[in-house]
Amino acid sequence: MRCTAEAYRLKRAHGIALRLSTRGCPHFRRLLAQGVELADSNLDTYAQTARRPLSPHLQVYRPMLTMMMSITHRITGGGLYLGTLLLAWWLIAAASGEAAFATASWFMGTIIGRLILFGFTWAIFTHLLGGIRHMIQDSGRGMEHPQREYLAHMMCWGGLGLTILAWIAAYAAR
Amino acid sequence: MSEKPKASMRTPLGQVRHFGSARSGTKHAWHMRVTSIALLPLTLAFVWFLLTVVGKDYASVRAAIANPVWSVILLLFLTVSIYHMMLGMQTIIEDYVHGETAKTWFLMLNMFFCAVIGLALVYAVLRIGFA
Repeated sequence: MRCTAEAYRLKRAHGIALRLSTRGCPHFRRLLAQGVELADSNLDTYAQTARRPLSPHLQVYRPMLTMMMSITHRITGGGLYLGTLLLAWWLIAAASGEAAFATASWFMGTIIGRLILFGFTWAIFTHLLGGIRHMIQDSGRGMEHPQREYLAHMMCWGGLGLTILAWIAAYAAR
Repeated sequence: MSEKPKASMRTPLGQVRHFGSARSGTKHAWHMRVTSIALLPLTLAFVWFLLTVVGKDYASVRAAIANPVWSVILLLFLTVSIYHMMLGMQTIIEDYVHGETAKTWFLMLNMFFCAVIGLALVYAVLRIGFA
């Protein structure tokens, strides 16, 4: 990629660290497409596009529970997004007729189906507790050292505990 | 000529690009929070419904969905959660897809997916409810 090459050249020549995402910056690309020389006179422009403070990302952190739970919140959210496909299949089958419903219901009853349903409920509870954690921290509370660890533990183990409790309770109530 | 130029809060780059605030900066974050509070009770009810109903026979499942109280709870849960997940996936796409063209397409796909799946779910519940 031409922009990447330019970014490395700039870095070598002027010691300016360019984010890789600069490649996607339309302003930067437009300048390159116009054949603007990356000379000293243009450096101010580049500095504005490219010399933003770099946020440290995953690879520089030691894994910690608070950070793992933040990622878990996003992953469970994405999982639930896809899980709606299964829910839609089951509900539409129930609305379509007996034969379609039999197939969907059979799948839910298999080991794989039950595992998916268990994972789906686990994702729901963990994401729900993650949301409560977000709300508490939105209010400015629970950010200090021991409290933020408690909240992460609450989300991690609470999600698992609520899932098991809900399955036991639901099976007892059937 | 003699008019004093207004002081601008914009950065020089922002002035050149002419992309300013559309006055909707907090809408996404606020809707995320409102829907998540609404979803607290709705989700608990939905999980209970799902775990007590999945695996039952055709007639019992349809009767459970057609129960007016459960129909309304299900419709509320489905519409609010689909909107919530559309907002959430939008954030994920904006965070990880950097190319402008790809980002635009993914954001559109996200809305289409949520519209189709949301409408299908709601239609299924209504159809069983009115049957």
